[in-house]
Parts: sequence; C-alpha cells; structure tokens
Amino acid sequence: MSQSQAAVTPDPEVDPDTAAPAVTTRADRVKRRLTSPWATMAALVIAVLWTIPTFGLLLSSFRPADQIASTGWWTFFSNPELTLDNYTEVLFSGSDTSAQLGEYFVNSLMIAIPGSIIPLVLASLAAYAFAWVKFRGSSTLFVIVFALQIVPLQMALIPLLQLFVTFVHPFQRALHEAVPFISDQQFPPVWIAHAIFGLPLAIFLLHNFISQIPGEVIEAARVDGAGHGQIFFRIILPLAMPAIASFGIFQFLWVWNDLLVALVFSSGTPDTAPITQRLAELAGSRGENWARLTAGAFVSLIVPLIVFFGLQRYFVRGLLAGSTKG
Amino acid sequence: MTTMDLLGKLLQGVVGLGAFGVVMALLLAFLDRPDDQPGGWRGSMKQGLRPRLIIIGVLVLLALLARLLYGAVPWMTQGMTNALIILAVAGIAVVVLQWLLDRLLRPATPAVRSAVLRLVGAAIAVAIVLVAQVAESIPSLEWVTPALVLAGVIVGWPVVGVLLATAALAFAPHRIRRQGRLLVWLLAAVAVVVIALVLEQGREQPIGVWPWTGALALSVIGVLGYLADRDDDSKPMLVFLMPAALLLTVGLIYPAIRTTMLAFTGRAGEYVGMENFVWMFTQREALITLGNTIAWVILVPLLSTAVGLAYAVFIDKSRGERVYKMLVFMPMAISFVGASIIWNFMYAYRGPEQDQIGLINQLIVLVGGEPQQILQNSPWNTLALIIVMIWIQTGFAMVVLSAAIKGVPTEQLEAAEIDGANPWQRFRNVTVPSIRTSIVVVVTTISIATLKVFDIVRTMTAGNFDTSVIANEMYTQAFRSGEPGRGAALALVLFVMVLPIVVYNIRVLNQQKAIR
Repeated sequence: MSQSQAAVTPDPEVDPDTAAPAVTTRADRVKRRLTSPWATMAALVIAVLWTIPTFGLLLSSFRPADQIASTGWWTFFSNPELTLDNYTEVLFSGSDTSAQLGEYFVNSLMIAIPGSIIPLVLASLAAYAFAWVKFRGSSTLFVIVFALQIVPLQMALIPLLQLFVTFVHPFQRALHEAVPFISDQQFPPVWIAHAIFGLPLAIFLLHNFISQIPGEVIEAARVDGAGHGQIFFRIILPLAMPAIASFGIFQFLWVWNDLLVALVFSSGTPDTAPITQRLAELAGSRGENWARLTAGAFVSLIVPLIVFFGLQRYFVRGLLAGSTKG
Repeated sequence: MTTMDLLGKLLQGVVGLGAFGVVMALLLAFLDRPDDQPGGWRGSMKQGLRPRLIIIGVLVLLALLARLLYGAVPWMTQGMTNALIILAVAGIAVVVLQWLLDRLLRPATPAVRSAVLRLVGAAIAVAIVLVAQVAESIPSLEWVTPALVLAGVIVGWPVVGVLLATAALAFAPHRIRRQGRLLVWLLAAVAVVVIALVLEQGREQPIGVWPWTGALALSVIGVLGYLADRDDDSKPMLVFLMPAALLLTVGLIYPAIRTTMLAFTGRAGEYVGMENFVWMFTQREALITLGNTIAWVILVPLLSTAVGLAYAVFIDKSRGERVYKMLVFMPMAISFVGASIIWNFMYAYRGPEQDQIGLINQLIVLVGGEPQQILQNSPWNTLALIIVMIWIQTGFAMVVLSAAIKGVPTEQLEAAEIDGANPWQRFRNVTVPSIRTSIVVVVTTISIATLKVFDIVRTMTAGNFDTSVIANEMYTQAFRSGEPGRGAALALVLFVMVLPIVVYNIRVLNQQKAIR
C-alpha cells in the first residue's frame, strides 16, 4: 500500500532521462554552480548510507552460515569466502525445519500475476466508460470512485473476510472435492481482495491517461461505424498501453510486497501464503538464524529488483506524471 | 512441494483467470451488434457459427478426455470426471441456447429482445434457487452450504421478481420504463432486507448482515441501469462499468460502512456505545500506540522529504546522476518485509564480549560504547523503526522532486544569479517556491503511507516493547485477540486521520489544474 497514492500515471512527454538538454547552455552553467564539491561529497555520503544495508545483506547471504553468526560481514574483505549453501538450503531443502521458500515463491507468483491482471482489466474498462461514454452522472460517479481511495484498506478487512467465508469458501470446497489435488486452501480470496483494493487508484490513473487521448481519433472511428467495443479494443487499448504497463508494474510490486492482505486472506499454510508472509514468520520465530534470513530476504527481493531495473523507465514515469502534473 | 501441488496451484490460476475471462467475454458480447448482417435465413444461421462449433468441439473433447483418463491415471478421480462431464454438458447447453436465442431474436424489436432475455434470465434464476433447495440430496452438490441456500432464497426471489417486472415494463413508453425500472430495482433491494429480517425471526442462529450487501448490489445495478437508459449512446456504459461498480460496492463501500458500525460493538457483537474509543484513549498501551503513530507521521514525511530534496539538489546535473538516483531509489522496490529484515540485520545485537555482526552496534563499539538491544529499548526502538521507513521513502521523494527541479525555469535562476544571489539564496527563493506543489504532494503521499504502516512494525517487533502503531494494533486486536470491535474502532481512527490529508491533497491538485 506504500506508494499507491503516488503511482500516478503517465504522461508520455515526461521522461526525466531525456528531459535534460544535451547541449551545455549558459543556463546549464548557472545551475551547475549550485553544486559545489561539498554538495558532491554530501551526495556521495547519502548514496553510500542508503546502499550499505542492502549490500551488507547481499554479501552476508553468500557467506557460510557459521561466519554470518559469528563475525560481521565487513570482515569478509579480510577473509573472503563465498558459498551458495544458504540459497540451496532455503529454496530446496526438504526437511521440515527449513524455510522451504521455493513453494512460497510459487505462491507469490500465483497471487501477484492474477492479482494484477484482474484489476487492470476491470479498471481499464471502467476508465474508458468514464472518459468516453457519455452518460448522466458520469462525473459524480467518478468523484465517488476517486474518494474511495480515502478508505484505508484496514477498514474493509473484517467484513470482507466474513463475506468470503460465507460465499467463496463453499465454491472452493466444491473445487477441492472435484479436483482433489487442488488444495482446500485456494488463492481466489487473495486475488479478489487485491483487485478490490487496487481498483479505485487504477481507475483514477487510467482515466487520467485515457481521457487525454485526442477526441478526433475516437470521433473518426465512430464515423467509420465502430462501436464502443471496437473503439476500446482497437484504439484505446493500444494507445493506453504505456499507462497500463506502468500501473501494471506498480500493482504487481504492490501485491508482491504486500503482507497485510496476505495475513488476513491467505491460509498461512504453504498452500497459499506468499513469500513475504513466510519471511515475516521466520523473522519473528527464528530472528537469529541469519543464514536463512539473509538468503530468504534476497530470494524475495529478486523479483521486485528485476522488475525495477528492467522496467525502470515505466516505473519512474508512472511515479512522476501524477505527482508533478495533476 | 510435490509436482501435484504445483500442478494444483497452476490449475487454480488457469481456472481462476479462465473463469474471469469467460465472464468478461460474456459481458462484452453485449456490445457492438453489427447492423449489416448477411441477408436471408441461411446467412443468419451461419453468423457466428464457427466460434460456437469450436467451443462445442473443445467441450466434447474435454468430456471424452475425462472419460478416457478415468481409471487410467490415479489423479483423475470419479469426482473430477463427473465434474468435467457436467461442465461440458452445461457449456454445450449454454452455447446452443445462446445461439438459438440470438437467431430467434435477430428480427425482433429491442423491446421484445430485452423482454425475452429477461424472461430467460428469470427462468435460470428460478432453476438455480430451486436446485439449491434440494442440493443436499444431490451427490455432487453437497458443498452447497445452508448459507448459500439461504442467500439463494433471500436474493434469488427478489431478482426473479425484478426480471419479470422489468420484462413487462419493456413495452412501456420510455419515460415510464426508465423510472419504473429504477423503482423496481430499489424495491427489490428493500425486499431483500425485509425477507432477511422476516426469516431471521424464526431462527436461533442470526442470518448475519450480508443481506445488506445483496440489497446494496441490487440498488447499484438499478441506479446504473437508470443512468444508462437515457439514450442509446450511454447504454454501453453498463457493460464497461458494472463489474468494477459491483466489486467496489460489495468489497469496499459495504465493508467500510460495516466497520464503522462494528466500532461500536463489543466482543460478542453487542452494542457498547463509545467503550472501544474510551479504551483507546485511556489504556496505557493504546495511548502509546497513538503516540507512536503521531511520531511516525511527523518524522517520516519531514525527514525523508528533506533528505530527498537535498539529495536531488546535490546530484542535479552532476555526472552519473542516473546511478546516484538508482542507488537511493532502489529501496522503493523492496518489500517492507524485506527492508525490515535488512535493518534487523543492521541492528543485530551480540553480547559485549562477542564480535558484533550488526553494523550499528559495531559502530557503537568502535566509538567506545556498550552494544545495545536497539529494538527493545523504548523509546529509541520506535526511532529505529522510523529510520527504516525513511530509508524506503526518501527515494520516492528524491525522484519526484528531482523531476520538479528540472522544470524550474532557468531564466529565473539566471536572473537571480545576476542579481547577486548566492546558491543558497537561489535555492531558497527561486527553486523552492516553484516546486512547492510537488513538495506538498510528496509530503502528503508519504504521510498517508506512513499512517498505514504495518509490515515494518509487524516484522521487526510485532508491536512489542512499546513500538505498536495503529495499523498494527488494529490487526492484533481484530485478528489475534478476538476483539473485532476494538480493531474496527482503530481502523475508524485511521480513516479520520487520513481524511484531512487526502482532502487537502485533492484541493491542491485541483488548484494546480485550475491554474493550468
């Protein structure tokens, strides 16, 4: 839930990396003089401070377990020794006491992918209706949807859980009975919860983008006899792809990193619990087993970090447009 | 993890997304009926024949496969075979029915079409309700719980009534039809609640409050239908908006209202007035929770915005700006749980006689101090948790503010320089005023995220040692101590605290829009 407020979307023109002019102008020099050697020093210190915690964890996760427990990771530089044992242990070890993160990793994927696709589909449909289907009360309804962001998800947890117990669990049991190798504990409650909590913001952001698509394009299509369905699939979806991609990334990261929704709506067993839940549990019960925790934490970080470094353009763009432009 | 488990999970994903896809496809099928049909009876028979044949073929194949595999492989159980065959038969029936309807209704007027579709819907609803009544005696329907049967009765009959009434109204003049339908839907919503209350009289076990959900959903359908029925142009709105509207009503608006009411109830659901709030503002633990939350919401936004702004200014136009940004921004992608473990490791404690493994304690030892149990010594442990949040949020502040700084008009900076302003004055008097709205957005966004912070506290201390915050306490009370009333009251307080920030944020954004 961290950044959902800000994950505001896309304005194709705002790209921080290309925004800087390539040629050195006079104005450029003026600006440059703001940065003194001291400022550079300070920036360097902040950058190092911000990186050290992650770096220490990464380095530790590759050190032998007894060394992690007895010496600080900085001693590595005088006594370098690396191993992959911690990772094999947390991911694949079959013993009951091990972390068995492999299974939870699969759960996280199984939660995060549908948990992002469902709200994206529903939100882009709704955003289109608000932007391009003319109906009375459209703006009032839109304001209501926007206002729903005010409701903290904590407000919805208890009643939603009651609803799921009454209406979703019987169907899960039926599925379990018909197909015995599908566990009694299933993902749909977590998917639905994530879809609901992601919807208001998704509708708002996608609407901002979709309503900026030039009206002439849509008018032209209508003159050619296209209905709303065709306009949506042939024109809106392709044009809004950058926005959908950036919100998709945010929703994916949000779902992947979530702990609260998982704690309330997943079973907590290896059947459905995501990796964050397992890690929180390990941190609580075996707070001192650093060999497992460091490797485990990095297993859970690897997907967000890949998404972050691989799709950074979309990520930053998604973050920016709304916060700096309305 | 066995292969079967993995297969089961993948299958859940396939079934779940498949069901979602089918529902969406059925919904979208209502859109865009092309006017130019090939003429004649044969033409209309052929229309859309191929996709239907393909679907039927797949379903037949599925049933055959189930029958063939039954007995051949251990995991194809009897229940599964039966389920697949039933699914295939039902699917084929639906496809054929839909095709027949489509074919029959093509020459009909819109009024007739709408009436027939509603009648068919009513027939299906009646069938479902009746089957649910006798589900107990049908072998493959044992999973239908009494609650589901009850729901079928309470919501099912009003829905049947609505469908019949609106079918009759289809032939009325437009004005009457529109308002009549709205009235019928709202009446049905009332009927759901009334039926539930009447049924509740004769039962030992209360039905619960979910009929209100059904009533809300029916009213939403009615209102949306009313809005969409104004002219032909606005009708498609129903298809686009209905799923999101229903989900938000049932999953967000109704629960929020319920939680508000729950806040005034006790352990067993009895009305207790303001007791939960009295508890919150008198108990020591609860007061500490409130105090901690306030400390969080003051320190985190201020410090992370300040550091982020300073950093953004320092690295602006410097060499390697991208790398600098990435380093500080990276914690944003990390989960709060991951960040908590990273910092738990930083704060790790070893006795004074041992080597320290946590960097912070190592530094303390280096300057000659005693190693500390950082996460257990109140009140400094709260500060230690706050640092984690600052570490995460600074990157966000930095990226947004950095983009804003790039938008500051260079002419103004130049003019200020010519006037003899030093770098600090230029920053103070030119840069800061022009990025003010961005600063406001950053501060408010981080404040809201901070108010809701849960994962960090849960993972690092679980709220022990006087570190709890509202969101964590809410979870503990509602889901661990069995005090849903207190949990709801805490959630309500959280709502009240978030409210002014969001309202302020919206106002600033609106002003900004108005200026542009």
